[in-house]
This record gives sequence, structure tokens and C-alpha cells, in this order.
Amino acid sequence: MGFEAGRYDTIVIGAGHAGCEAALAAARMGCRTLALTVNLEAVALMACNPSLGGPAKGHLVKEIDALGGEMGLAADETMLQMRLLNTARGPAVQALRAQVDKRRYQERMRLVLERQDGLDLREGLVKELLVENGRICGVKTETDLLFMAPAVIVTTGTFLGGRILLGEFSYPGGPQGLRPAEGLTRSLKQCGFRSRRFNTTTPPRIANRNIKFDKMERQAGDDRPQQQFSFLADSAKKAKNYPCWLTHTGPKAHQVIAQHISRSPVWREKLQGTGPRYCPSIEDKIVRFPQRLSHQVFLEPEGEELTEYYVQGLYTALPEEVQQVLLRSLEGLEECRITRPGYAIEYDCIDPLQLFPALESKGVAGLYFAGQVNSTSGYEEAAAQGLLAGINAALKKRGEDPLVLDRSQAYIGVLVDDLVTKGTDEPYRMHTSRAEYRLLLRQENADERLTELGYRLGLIGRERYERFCKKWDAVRAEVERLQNTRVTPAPEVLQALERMGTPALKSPASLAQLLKRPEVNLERMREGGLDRETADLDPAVLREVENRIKYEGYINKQREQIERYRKMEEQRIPEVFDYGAIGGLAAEARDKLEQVRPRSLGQAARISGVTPADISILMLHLEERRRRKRSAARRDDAREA
Amino acid sequence: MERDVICAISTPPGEGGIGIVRLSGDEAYRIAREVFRLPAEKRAGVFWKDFHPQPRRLYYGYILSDRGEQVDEVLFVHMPAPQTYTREDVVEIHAHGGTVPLQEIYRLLLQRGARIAEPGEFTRRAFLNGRIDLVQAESVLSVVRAKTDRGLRAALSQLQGHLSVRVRELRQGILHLLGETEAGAEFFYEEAGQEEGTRKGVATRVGELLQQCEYLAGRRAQGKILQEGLKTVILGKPNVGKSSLYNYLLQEERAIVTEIPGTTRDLLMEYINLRGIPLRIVDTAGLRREGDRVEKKGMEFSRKAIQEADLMLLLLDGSEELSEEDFWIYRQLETAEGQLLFVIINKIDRARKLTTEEVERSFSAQRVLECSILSGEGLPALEEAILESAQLGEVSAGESDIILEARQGELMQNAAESLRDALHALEAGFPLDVVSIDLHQAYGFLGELIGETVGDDLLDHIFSRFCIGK
Repeated sequence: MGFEAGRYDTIVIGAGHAGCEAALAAARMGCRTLALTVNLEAVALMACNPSLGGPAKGHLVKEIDALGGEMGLAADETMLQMRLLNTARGPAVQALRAQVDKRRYQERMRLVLERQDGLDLREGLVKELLVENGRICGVKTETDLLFMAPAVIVTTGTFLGGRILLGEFSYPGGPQGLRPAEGLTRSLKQCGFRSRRFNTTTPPRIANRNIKFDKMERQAGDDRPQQQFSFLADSAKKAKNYPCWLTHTGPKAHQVIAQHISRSPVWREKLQGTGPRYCPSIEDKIVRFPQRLSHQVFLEPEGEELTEYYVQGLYTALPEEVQQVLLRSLEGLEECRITRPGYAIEYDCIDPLQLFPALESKGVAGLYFAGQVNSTSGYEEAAAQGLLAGINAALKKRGEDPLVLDRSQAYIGVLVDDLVTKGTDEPYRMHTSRAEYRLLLRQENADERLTELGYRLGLIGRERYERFCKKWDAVRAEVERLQNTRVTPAPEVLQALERMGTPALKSPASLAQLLKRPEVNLERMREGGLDRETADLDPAVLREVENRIKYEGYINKQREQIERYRKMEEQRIPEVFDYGAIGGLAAEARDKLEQVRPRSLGQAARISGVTPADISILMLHLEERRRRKRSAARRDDAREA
Repeated sequence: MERDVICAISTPPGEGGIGIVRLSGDEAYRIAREVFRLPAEKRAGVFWKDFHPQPRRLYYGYILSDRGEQVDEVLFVHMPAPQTYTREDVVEIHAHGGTVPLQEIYRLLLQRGARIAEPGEFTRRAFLNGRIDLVQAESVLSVVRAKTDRGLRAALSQLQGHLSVRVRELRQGILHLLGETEAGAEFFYEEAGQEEGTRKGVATRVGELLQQCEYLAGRRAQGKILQEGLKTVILGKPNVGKSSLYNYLLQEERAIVTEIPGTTRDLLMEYINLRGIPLRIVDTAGLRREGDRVEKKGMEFSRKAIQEADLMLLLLDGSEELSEEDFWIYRQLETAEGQLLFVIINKIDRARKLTTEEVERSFSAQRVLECSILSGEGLPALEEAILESAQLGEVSAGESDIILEARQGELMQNAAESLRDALHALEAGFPLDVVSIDLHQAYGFLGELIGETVGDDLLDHIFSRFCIGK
């Protein structure tokens, strides 16, 4: 039953961070696309913290931008402060983080979707997937509207089977008072998907009145931010710098929590499923780290014209009145007032082992999954998957090979490979330590790694592509110049070196060699009068030049590692392969291999439960198979001749 | 799947109390049962085809020839898959030692359809069938090839995982360090400025790990000696006492029976067991300059022996002055790196015409020793010196009996190198997250060593180690 309300190439269920990128990418690559959202006010909702980026997450935003996604642009335009983190560390872990105006971010993103050619954005709650002969063909809404398409991308976030828990209360619901998506989980199960329940907690928001900021520590962003998320960012625009405020929990707060913890669903184990280990509730923190007498709490502004502050660090589902007492026990918040209480939300998500690396499901052709529904957490992780799913849905329509990014190319590649190879038992969050080749996956070279690809996909415009080429030509030329420019221990050089506070030169050396000294950088060389040629170059170019020269040895090391890694990735396993026919494989390994169906030996080796012994056996069988084929081919040749 | 039945005499050749013939494969039991008769069957002259001895129980009986004659009295055991060494059906026939009956049983089994096992093939099957991992497979091959008890003990201890335990500890240590070098980058809210303190701590611990890796990497050479023997060449002019020294070292209780008896004689070399250290002593007939008749072939062989030697013993006659011939022999020796030359002044029981000082002036050798092979004076010191040269003189049994295969040694070396790089990077002021690249690399090498990480060269390695059907 139902009324056929429209035919599309691609339908995206949900318009959160994954859904927006998915819908935009598909539409920009020429698909007639429909984005369905539970509520138009919920487009690109930052349901939790009003910020983007940070280590690994900032990398993801830059990669999304380099591939022609929207998140970076939106963040740059609506940011309240920008900060480069880990400046004292190596270039691999330096990361951009922005406080973002939550409402403007949503408004801007919604406008982009609404203005996108080929993209229809509308309200509609999907309750059923329409599948025929193992292929997706459309969706059905709760009001029995039928939308037909050969590709559907599920980006349901925390809405799928959402349930809110707050103190003793609990009820079905999505984030921030929105409706949950009920019914769709049943449809997914009918299609054969294994689902599980995860949860997360969000902190209370408080009004800005009566906060005693003078009793807190001011946390401003960078005055003149060195960089922004997008390659296209307007560098001339004056950056905003709204502060955050730091306060701490103390014995009093911990006492309040301990006293009332039995009333929290987090504690009563009323909460189903697994929560994120990396942003635990304050209840969890008190229980797990009883020796810590204090935890940091940051007030983050929700928007320029919004009066609310987000109380980062105080993730809680304690009853409202306890939250009030707890907040007021913190320095500076003695008289604060809650505008929205913190709460816990549980939701359904699927085991990502059911997906191919293109994020298409193994069970239902044309059905893609992206974002929190794939057991991840975080806006950036969601957006990255959304972009990839959107691209792949469009490539499939074009009849082209899917885009699969590997671990040596991008954090997006690491993220997806981890999900579809190892799976996850908790909400998956990106970390720099997950990326083996992170020195080559710097956020500053995200464009170098991915923009060419984005251009070929049709997501990067000609003009931007040319600017991109110019930038990297400049980097290469400058590196070469520094390598080829030699200085001798002449008096003026020695004076310059002394001004720069670096040891004298005994024999001639190239500028590149000098740049490798820890205390030397291009700015100092310029100020010291050793080399003024770099004065007119774009700071982004200079930073990359420095990275390339200073870390040359390590960059080369990682390149060698990547070569070894690729060797294993190139050992392909046929798509149809009978693992049951291989004696000697451990039963667990056989099950896992059948489930994951790895594309390569390399991927097979990363599956948990598959041991190197299993891999060696697999290797031998592949090799024997290859040799058999070869000798069969030789026999055929001989027969023909 | 390759499940054809392979068959081998699994005990060393030569006379022994018992000898074992082993079969493995799908049809192992059928083949073996066809030549085995229970006492009752033999008495009645029948074959109860449908009577099957119980698995894993030893049965007394006979092996009969084609004509029904008794070849040997044996014990017979059938071990069904998969709880066997190869994870296949295995049968063992325990017969009397001695070449003739064993060879005959072997021949009968081959006739019934078993195939001669390639060297190491039982182990290869165990590996292919997932029974043992690569490191264990390597260790088994070491056990098989071990020349002395000490080598065997080392190989066995490795089989039981002593090396793996040590390497796992090392990896654990590196993992902890990685926690420190990487975690900091994730939690940007935590206070900065502790970096310097952390760096010092990290450097100290990297240093400790490096030391252990270097120590273990050093076990490679010794491992090689334990397995292959310390190649020793005795040199000297005629009548200087070479044969006496050779015979002294080759005292009867030290002789080692080698697998293929003829070989050593052809190569003029002998294995001896010197307090647990295998010595491979080579006679150098070719370097004798008796008359002008220098055999070309012998000469060539001697040169090769000298090139390959770990230790060269040059004998001089203490009752004579240095002769032109002594110098001639000395000039033939070009000691390469790692090769040792001991000069031994023999016949010190007679009137001395040659002093140690004089020898030290004339020859450049690692050690100059004095002895009388006739009276036995100085011989214990010589033995000590040889043991020391194997760097095993002071090593006691136990954990230090860990030895490394060539591949393992190389990986250990690589791990040490990576840790050294990490130390340099820390000194040069590289950020901790960059230093962790080296630590990761070391971690990976050690993982490959114990088979917990798949290395890219695993394939090549497997194919070089186990010959695979074309």
C-alpha cells in the first residue's frame, strides 16, 4: 500500500552531518537526490557540543574539504573561535579546533542543501526499506508515502530507535526534543541486518545570566588563526574569538554525584548498550577515577546570539534537580540556571562488518550506511562517511568502480577500514594513534592527498583545482630552491646564524640542511637575514616546505612502510572464495573471513581473530591457486600451439 | 588438499635400540595396517582386515614381508586426526634399531602407497594445517638439525616459547612507551609542559629496551654456532702435532654421529662435542707442502676451509725455531672479520727454542697458547680458549640458551636499529609523536619475529623454507 510520491537516483534517510554530506555529494555528482529528515529544523543539528575538529577529527574535516565536502566551509563561516592544538608537537598531530555557532551552522548548511541543484530536502520519517531480490528500490514513510530509488543511504544517527533517559524518567525520543525513528529498525532486521544498542550522554546547557566569569579561567582561541578548515576559506576575513571558560568540579560536586548516583540511569544500568569510552558521563568518571579530586569543566558558547552555554565535561543523566545542585557547586556557577538538562540517549546502530569498504551493505545491493548508525561517534566521523557513501552511490549509478580510500591515503580510509574490517564494540571515535602513517596524513596536506581525486569525481571546481596545483608547485619549487641554495661560513652568514641563536657553520651547507636544525625555521631565517626569498610566499606553502624538509627522514620511513603495506593490499582475494575448503584455518578465522570477505590479504590480516598462522595458510592457498591457474594457462597455450 | 601419505624413518641412522617409522596422511592407517599383524593373526596366518586396533594404544605385533616372512617385531600405534603432530592421521611403527629391518619396513610401506617425506615435511604439514606457527616450525627444524645437546636444548626451549616470552615482554615495554608518546596528542585539555620530563623518561626506557634487543640480536651468532658447529681448522707444518691435536680433541666420547656418515670422511672433517659446543674440525691435507707435490684439488679445498672457518688453530713446534714453512702457512691465512686465529706452541715438554714473545712479534693472532699434546700440559687452557671463542665459555644453561634463527636475528637487529633511531630522534629534539614512528617500527619487527604480525616478506619466507609443489 502507499502512494508513490517520487522517483530519485539516491535517497538519503536523515539530514544530520552524514546525511548532509551524502546528499550534497550525490547531487553534485549528478544524482537526482532526495534528503528526508524527521524535521527541517534538525538539518545539520549539533546535538551535543558546539565545536568541530581537534586531533584526528580536524584531520577528517580537512579531508572532507579536500574532497569537496561542505563541513569545513560551514565551520569556517560560522566559527566563534579557532585554535590550533598541539603546536608544541609534531606536524602529524597538530590539529585545528573551532567553536561553532550552532544555529548559524545549521542555517547555513540547510541553505546549501536547499539551493543545491538536483537535491530535494523534505520532511518525512522513513519506517520501511523497500527491497526486491536483494536490491534496494525505495523507502516508505510513516504516512505511507513511497519514494523510489536504486540507491538509499541510511544516516539515522541517534534517531534510530532513540530513547531518552533522565533520572528516573525515560521515553522514546530523538535528541533535543525531536521525534525518534521508530519502525525502521524492524525493517532493517527483516533485511537481515544485525543491530545493537549504543548510548551517549550530553551535558546540561545553562543560561549566560548570573555566571560569574571572573571566577573562571578564560580560554580564548588564536588571535590570528594561522589556518582554517577549508582550502577556500577567506583568509582576509577577521576571525572571531569568543572565549570559553574553564572551571572545575571539586569535593562538593563529587559528593553530590556520589549521593545521588543511584538515581542516574547510567549507574542503575537502566541504560542499554555501550557508551563512548572517550567522553564518559561524569557519573562514570567519579566511579572509575575515585582518586581524582577534580575534573575540568568548560563552558562553551552555543552561538553568537544564543544565550546558552554548553557545559563540556559534565555529561550526565542525573535527575534535573540534582544537575542543578551539581552545577551550582562549581566555582562561578553558584547562581546559574539550567535551560536544558543533560540526558542520556540510547539508539540502534548496525554492526559495520556488514558493509563493504564502499559503505554499501553486503546483504542488500544499493543500500549504504553512514555515520552514527555504523557504530561511530562524532560529527566529523559521520560527515566523512556520509561523503564517501554519497560519492559511491553516485559512482554506482555511473557504473564506475567504487571509491575506496586506503589507510595510507586518508584518515577517512583508516576510519572505514577499521569499521568494515575490525568492527567495533563501542562508539568508534577517530584518534591520530589509529593512523599508522600519520606523518603523511597531516591535516595540512589533506588537499595534496585528496583534491586530485575530488576533481576527478567532479566535486572540486576547475578554479580551485588550479589554485591547488599552484600551491603544490610552489611547495616543490621552494623545497628544491632550499636544497640547492648553499651558504658558506662567510662572516655575514655567521652573524645571521648567531642572530638566529643557532651554532656556527664549519663547512658550506644548503639552506635545507640548516632548516633541519630544531631551532631554525623559515621565519627565523628570514628575520635573521639569512634567506629573505620566502617573504612573499603563502604561509600554508611555507609550513609545508618546513614539514617536508624538517621531517624528511621520517617521511621517507613512512613511505617505505606504506610500500610494504601496499604489497599486502595488492595480494587480492577473489570476491567469491570458499574459505570452508581450506583445511587448517582455525574455525574462528574461517567465520570471520566469511563474514568480512576481505578484498586483500592485507585486510584479512587486520581482522581480529585471524592470526598470522591463518594468514600464512591463506597465502599459500592463494599462491597455489595462482600457480595452478598459470600452469593450466600454459597447458592451454601449448594445446593451441 | 595434500593428504597423500608421507613416510620417513624418524630416528637417526646408525645402530640404536629402537627405530621409528612414521606415516602421516589420510590413508596412513590403511597402509600401515596392511603390513602389520597382531600375534594372533600371525599364529593363524590370517589378516583380520576389519579388526582395528584402538587409537592411541600401543599394540605389540609383527611386520610381515610380501611373502609372509617376519621382518621385525614391532610396537604399532595409530593416532587419528586431528590431535596429532601434523593434524592428520599418523601411524608410528617402533621397530628394532639398525638399518636393515628399518629400511625393509620403510620399503614395504612405500610399496603400499606411501611416499618418501621431503626433509621437514611433517613439520610443514603441521604448519599448513594450523597446528604450529611459523616460529615453532622454525624451531622444530632447529631441533631436527641440532648437533649437540646444548643446541637441542636451546631449540627446545624456543619451541616452548622462551624466546617468545622475552620478545613479548619487549613488545609490552614498547607498547607502554607508545601510550606515553601518543596519548598526549589526544587530550589537548590536559596541561602541557610536562613534555621535557616525559622525554627523559622515554629516552631512559628506550635505552633499556635497546640493550635487551642488542643482547638478543647477539644470540644469533651463537645460535648459528650451536646449530652448525664452530668451524675449526687445524694448520701447521708436518710433524708439528696436528694429528695429535686432532685425535686429542676427537676423544671417543666426544665424537658425534652425523646423519650421513660418508660425508665427513670425504670432506675430511669431523664433528665433536666439546663440553656442549659442537666443533667442526677440518683437516687440511692440502696445505701440506710435502715436496713439490701440491694437489690442486686438496689445495682448493683447504683454501675454502680457511675462508669459511670461524677459528684457525696454527700449530708451531716449540722445540724448533720458526721456519720458512711456518711463515708460508701463515701467509696463506687472510683472516676476515669475525675469524679467529690461535697460534699454539706445541712440544713445550722439550727444550724450548721458541718463546711466546717471539711468536707474538712474528704473527698477529688473537691468542698465543702453549701446550704439550704429549704430556697434556696446557690442553685444558686451550679448550677454555676455544670455548671462549664461541663466546659461550661463561654462558650457563637456562634462559641464555635462547638462540635466534637467521630470520629472527635479522628482525631483532632491525628492532634494535629502530630503537637506536628513536634515541637519536629524542636527542635531536624531534617531537614525541614523531619518535613514536620508530617505536612502532620496532614493535612491528618484534611482532613479525614471534609471528604475531604478518610481515610483507612472509610469503617469500614460507616459500623458501618449505618447498611447495610447482
